[in-house]
Amino acid sequence: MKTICKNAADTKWNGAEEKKLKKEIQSTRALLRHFDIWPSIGGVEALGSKSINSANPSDTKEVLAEVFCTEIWAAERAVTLIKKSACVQEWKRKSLTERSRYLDRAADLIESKRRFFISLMILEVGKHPEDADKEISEAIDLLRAYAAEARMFEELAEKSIVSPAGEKNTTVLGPAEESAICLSIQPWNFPLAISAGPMGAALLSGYSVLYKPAEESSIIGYFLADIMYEAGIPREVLHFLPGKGETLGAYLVAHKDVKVICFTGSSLVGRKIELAVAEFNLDILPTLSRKDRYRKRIASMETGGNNVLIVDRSAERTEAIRAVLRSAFSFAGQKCSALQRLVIVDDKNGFYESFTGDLKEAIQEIRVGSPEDFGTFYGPVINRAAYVRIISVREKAWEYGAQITEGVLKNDAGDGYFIAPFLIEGLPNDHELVQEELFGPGLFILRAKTIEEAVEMANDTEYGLTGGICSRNETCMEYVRENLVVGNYYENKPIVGARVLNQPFGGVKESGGFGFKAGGVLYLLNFLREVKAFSRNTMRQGIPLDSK
Amino acid sequence: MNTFTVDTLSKAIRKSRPMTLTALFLRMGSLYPVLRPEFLKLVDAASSVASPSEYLYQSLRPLADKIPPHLRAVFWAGEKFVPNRLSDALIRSAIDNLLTPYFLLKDEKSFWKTKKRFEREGAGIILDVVGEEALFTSEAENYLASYEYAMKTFGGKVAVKLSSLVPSISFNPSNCKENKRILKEKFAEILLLAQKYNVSITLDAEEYFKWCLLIEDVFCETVLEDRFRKMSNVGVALQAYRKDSFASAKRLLAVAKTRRYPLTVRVVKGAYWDTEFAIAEQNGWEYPLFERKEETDANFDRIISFFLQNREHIYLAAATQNPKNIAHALKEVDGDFTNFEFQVLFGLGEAVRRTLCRLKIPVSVYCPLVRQGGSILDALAYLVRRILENTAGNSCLLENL
Repeated sequence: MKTICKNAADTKWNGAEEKKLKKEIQSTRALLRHFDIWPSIGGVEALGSKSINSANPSDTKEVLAEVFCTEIWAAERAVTLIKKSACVQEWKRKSLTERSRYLDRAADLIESKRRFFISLMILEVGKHPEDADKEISEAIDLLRAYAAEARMFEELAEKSIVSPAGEKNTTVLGPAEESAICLSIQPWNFPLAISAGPMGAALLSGYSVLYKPAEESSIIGYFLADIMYEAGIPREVLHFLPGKGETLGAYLVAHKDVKVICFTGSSLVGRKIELAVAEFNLDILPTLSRKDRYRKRIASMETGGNNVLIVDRSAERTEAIRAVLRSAFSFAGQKCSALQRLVIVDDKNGFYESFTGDLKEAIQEIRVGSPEDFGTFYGPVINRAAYVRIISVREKAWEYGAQITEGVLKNDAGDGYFIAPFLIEGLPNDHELVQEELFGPGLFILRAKTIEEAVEMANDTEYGLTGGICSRNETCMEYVRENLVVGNYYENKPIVGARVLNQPFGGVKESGGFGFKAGGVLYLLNFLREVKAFSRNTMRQGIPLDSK
Repeated sequence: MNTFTVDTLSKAIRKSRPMTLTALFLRMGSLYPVLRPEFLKLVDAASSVASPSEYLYQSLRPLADKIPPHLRAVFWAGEKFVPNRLSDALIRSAIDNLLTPYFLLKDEKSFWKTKKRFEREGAGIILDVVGEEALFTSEAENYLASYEYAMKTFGGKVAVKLSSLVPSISFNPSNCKENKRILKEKFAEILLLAQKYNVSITLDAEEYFKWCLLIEDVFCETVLEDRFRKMSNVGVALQAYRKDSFASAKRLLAVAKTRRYPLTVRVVKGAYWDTEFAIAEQNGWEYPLFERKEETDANFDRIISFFLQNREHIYLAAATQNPKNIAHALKEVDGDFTNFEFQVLFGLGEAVRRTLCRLKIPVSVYCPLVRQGGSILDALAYLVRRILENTAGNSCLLENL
């Protein structure tokens, strides 16, 4: 079967590629050294104040660039611009197919700057080049997939509408709101892909976008916006607004003209946004002028996870260990899909001991250090706060009497927020430490007697994002497949690394559940509405004039 | 001597084919493609699931209407009337006793016995310590130890898998330069051992994207080092299904010429076809192998001819069981067998080996041996690869079974 679009190819690593990338990292570093990141509002790069330093998490002494946060009044200006600009109206009037070309172009541009973006991710968020490379493919895929979907939906809308003789019927797809403004607040852990996806989908659907990246990844956000401008998206349509979530983010979420919000981040902030939206619709909406009473809505929302992998004794040993390591420790576990709870099914035959024994040996092989050293498994955690939080979880677990096995942190790791991988055994599943999302390179190991008990344990969480099983026992696999409550389920493979159009991504329960899955064929429908269905009587004097 | 045609060879091979249950088993797998994946899964899972028969019934039940009636009757009767424990034992012993002797040697005793038998009939032996990529350091060290043990105990020719000598967890494909340094170190260690015990070494072929080109670099650079330059009993496998294999052949010849001492090249067709296909597709890479078997066969012949024209530099081992390729090689060899031999797989190539032995043509047998203290589990990937290629519809081996 022909797919609607082909996935981008990842880098094929070899000596020459390694050399080129290392050179690119140095030139990127040099470029950033004298670089200030300003908000970009309607083509003006200014209007910021109170700079924050964007530091390299692998080397806390290295300041990469200075980021100027968007002033509230400047954000207000962006909203005004959108409401007034003719350019914005023109963008909205374009057909889906026309708009989709811009995204395709942006995808091509990202592809042409692949090494540059890998370098940015290595420097700004401490991502290993191989993980960064995969993320860039994901960003490209998201843009191309949504662009292809837009064309598909347009065709579908055209073909599916019935017009009998004497009637001309059409339906128009686009944003439902008069001033179509979408606020996109996105995280630092996938600074390119998760930003590009919702931004691209909103733009495609005809919205203008206020894009606020996480403070920790403002530089990458800036260069993403830059790519979009280069691809031809008008500067009045897309605005780049770096800044703090508590102030700028909160202000924009509650803003009366911002009608659509997409958010990826922590569950706590997600809930706050939901509350703000509900309050707005309940209290503020009735006070607005009658022509402005469009409801505020959340188009897409992805939040936390507390993900689980079940391993039983029929699992292929090496495959299972690889799956656990990749799921739990790649990018230091800082993925919403990362593995936090490993459930080992052991019916008293020593499998638990042998498997954990292997894991303990395996984590000693994990090298932690700056991702500029390509031989590392993962790099630093994002910032000081994360470092302190994760270390304190490890210490608390120890105080509670858990058994902790730590990997090694070599002295040459450097002056960054490095944490060696650790395994925590002996805490029950309902312990608060186990239940809270860790978002770091730690793994809780739990023991179950039967597969049923394992699944019950696995489901006993507020989240439901990813999960899976490593097994060769078809009955067990079938049971888990049926009963595990997750949005993305994996068998005999890592539970991270969903690919666009291969594994549409999104969870249930507290993990999200807003809208269609990211990277799936329906995602665009989170934004796109059948705004208006036209029906026209083509008869004059009772005679259908346009009949065939 | 040069009157071998494909027909006469095929006939001779067919005449000396061993009639084993395993052959029958394989044949069944190729006759009923729907059974093939189930059969592979069973071999893979038998040692780790509680009840393999339960496992087999479960996986076959949904396929009931696709299985031929007589087999269905056998399964049905088995499920109904044979107690699980008995059928478990049957399946386990079937895999152990029927399958393994046809694919690999389980212990030292059977190795010595086999070696004696082969030598009596005039065939050589290449020892392959069964194993795959190592996960962590201790595993890699174990592999190194078992290679040393094999060299010390068995001598002769030993096949080495470089990927089993490094812990793969800390082996990132992007870290090329460092990876190469580590592999060179490991290969040098192996070569020093080979010098010490005076054995021949050939590096095995491996997965394309992660290992293949890296290993070729490691090989070419190491054998040019002064301390190893004079070793002529060192070699490498070259997979003819790779589109770029002819370029590699040229490179190997150039290296042999530069060092002025010959190298051994074992030309094989390649055993990771399905794996490479999946890896390439999952990463969006171009497929690095010939997609049609005939192309691989033709390329194999081409490489054989190329090396045979340069016999003073390359000791050539043609690893094939296909009568067509054998006939082609024999024609090129033209009765002069210096620096040339055929290589066949243990068990699977038995008919070919017997035929070649009878014709007094030099042949060695590639014998996978479960390593000291290891278990059949180490060999599962090898087993599955072999079964996969030998139950494929276009397998030349099946014609000989």
